[in-house]
Amino acid sequence: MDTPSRWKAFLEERTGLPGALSRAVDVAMPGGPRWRRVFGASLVALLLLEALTGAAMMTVYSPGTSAAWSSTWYLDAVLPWGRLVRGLHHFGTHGIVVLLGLHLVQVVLDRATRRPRELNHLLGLGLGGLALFAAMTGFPLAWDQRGYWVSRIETGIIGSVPLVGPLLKRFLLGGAHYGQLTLTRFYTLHVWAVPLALLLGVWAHVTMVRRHGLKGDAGRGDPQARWWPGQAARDGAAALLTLAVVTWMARRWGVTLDAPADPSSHFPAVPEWFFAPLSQLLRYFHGPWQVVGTMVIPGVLTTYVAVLPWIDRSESRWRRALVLTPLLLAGLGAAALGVEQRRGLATPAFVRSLREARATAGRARALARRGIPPEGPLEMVRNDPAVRPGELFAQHCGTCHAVRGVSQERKGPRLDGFGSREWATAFVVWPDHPELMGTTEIHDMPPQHRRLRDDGVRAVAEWLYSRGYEPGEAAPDAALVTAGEAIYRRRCTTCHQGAGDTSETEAADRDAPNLDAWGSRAYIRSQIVNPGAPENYGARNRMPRFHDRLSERELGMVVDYVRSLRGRPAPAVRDEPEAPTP
Amino acid sequence: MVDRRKALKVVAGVTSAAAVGVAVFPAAALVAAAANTPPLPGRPPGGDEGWYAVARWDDLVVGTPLQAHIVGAEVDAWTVSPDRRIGTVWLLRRGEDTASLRALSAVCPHLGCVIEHNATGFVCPCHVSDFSPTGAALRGPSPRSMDSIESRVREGRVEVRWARFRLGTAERIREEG
Repeated sequence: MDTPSRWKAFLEERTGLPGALSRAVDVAMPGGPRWRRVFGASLVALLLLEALTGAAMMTVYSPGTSAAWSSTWYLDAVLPWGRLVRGLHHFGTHGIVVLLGLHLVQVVLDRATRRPRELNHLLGLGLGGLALFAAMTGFPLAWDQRGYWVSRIETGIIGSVPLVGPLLKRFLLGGAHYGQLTLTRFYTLHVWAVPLALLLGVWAHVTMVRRHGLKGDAGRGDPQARWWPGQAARDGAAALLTLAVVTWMARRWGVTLDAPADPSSHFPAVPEWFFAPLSQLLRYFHGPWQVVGTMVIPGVLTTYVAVLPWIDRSESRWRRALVLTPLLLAGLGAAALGVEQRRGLATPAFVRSLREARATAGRARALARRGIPPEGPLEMVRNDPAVRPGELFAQHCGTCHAVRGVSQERKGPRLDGFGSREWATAFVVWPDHPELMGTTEIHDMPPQHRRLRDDGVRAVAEWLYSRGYEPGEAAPDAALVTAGEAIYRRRCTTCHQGAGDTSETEAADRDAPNLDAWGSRAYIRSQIVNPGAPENYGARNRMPRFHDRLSERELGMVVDYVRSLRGRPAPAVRDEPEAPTP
Repeated sequence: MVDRRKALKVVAGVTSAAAVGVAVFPAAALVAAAANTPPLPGRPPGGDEGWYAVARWDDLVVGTPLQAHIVGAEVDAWTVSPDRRIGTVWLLRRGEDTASLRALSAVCPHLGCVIEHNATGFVCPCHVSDFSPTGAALRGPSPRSMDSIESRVREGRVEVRWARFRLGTAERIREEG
């Protein structure tokens, strides 16, 4: 005996494995191998790919509403191979859907669904449904905008099924609303329950195929032909090609990770292409008719395919053509619905919201590179330092203070350029300018231009600018600052609080704001938190206090934002009006 | 015909094995890569160039070790949490000069338990490794003395440069991340 045979005999005696393997591949295939029968094996190859890539991702992914997006981002952007593995898992699903269709068409046309294979046909249909359910439960796991919103629509449809719908939906969601339990339930279904059912189902499917033998071409070729090795070689080559195509797609396109799921946002949710026909039907059937699109049409079609083994029994070409026409029409109809949906999406509004969504997604991914806060990715995006301060200002301050590009209101001074020399100059020259204190009910300060002259105004503005100056900005002119401070302490502190000449009034009567820290972060903060404080506008103040409307963090952001306005052009005021406002 | 059959067997075997390989390889590569956790791409090092203020020089008593916690941003995979305790050190002051400051990691070089202070010096409670009052290994399973941590005094603040070292080795090997 040569060495391989000895090993074989050794294993056979102890495990029986070689014999079992030989019997396993010894499946009848009358007529010999055919290329068109490779789809089943390719499906098995893709299921294996899904299992392996899925298990690999499970070593990184974390199913929590704040960790799901973050861990998926980490997988995509940080870990080597992560993006490819996620892409393989994603496009593997697409491959499975395509192959399921081809496999179905092949077995129907080859009469491989007829007696005694009817029940295996039904099992196959069930497995197809399970595969779609696996795709459905996997899609929201990244907890990004698209996955979240598409999933909400899908479970909404499930919930609209008469009688059992609401209960089924609550079961899927783990309650009435999308949240943590929804995610863990989808996760459990996706990584455990559905794969287990698929594994058992595929095992039963293949066992029955082996029991019946592969449906070959009786009467043509060798009636004693087997699956091994002729068809096996074709199956292997096709599986390899399938995996190659899926790998190419994953490398070529990858999977986009959208912005973190935001239940308060509006998102242009579009399902994967294989759910597009169903999604498009929703546009035609409204209200009580919705079930026609969601239940009746898909139900009738599924029933038709299920009973095919019993209605497609003739050998006559014409009768078969008649019986199978609905299958062709259904395919064409689905394709037409898919195309129609694509066309419907090409509206300017949709394209715009898609562009916005892409920009948010890109921003979220960029922010994540610095690390995601423990509150989660949604808070990270909401507190984006490039966006959030402006939003907070618009929301809380913009209803009174005009700022170019944010608001046009005139119930408080325009803040473009606040803190700059130009803004200070404008204020000193003409306090009641229609864009400055002219917007308020406080008109106590007279114009100062004639009193201080050009040089005096310039010096005081320089001193004011120096109060809020921070390193990195244009340095104030030291000589001007000294001159400006001297003028201010002598001529302005009659009204303004702080150190200086108070000869004309009692110290207690001075009620104009203390400007010693004008334009600084502390000054801005004080104005926001308590504008009616004695050192600010006191009893004359009409601005609301924001001490309990903004969190400490938000307050810091608004202060940052107001500071950022220093660089903008201030209202241009060269001289006070001819007739000063009263 | 025999040759053709043999060729088909080879093709079947090779293509099936290749298909399994194509499915296995990326998944295995990811799992292997994830075991060696890469840092976040946009994250600068923590503290002030890695230095953390942990105590005030005046709070240290000569001859009495002080346990101090390093508080800083904790980086755990994708999450960065500000103001977490990321490490513990024992601070030793041996004289009036700030150069007499020494900092020892409280992580036992044996298996990573937190080292405590007692009357005779330091002891790790998990497997009873005894260390001298300056951290030298005396008895027990610890393969080396307590790890010293870079330290300095700036404007009255005791600062340390926190680091972790490989456990169980006689040699001190710094571990990143």
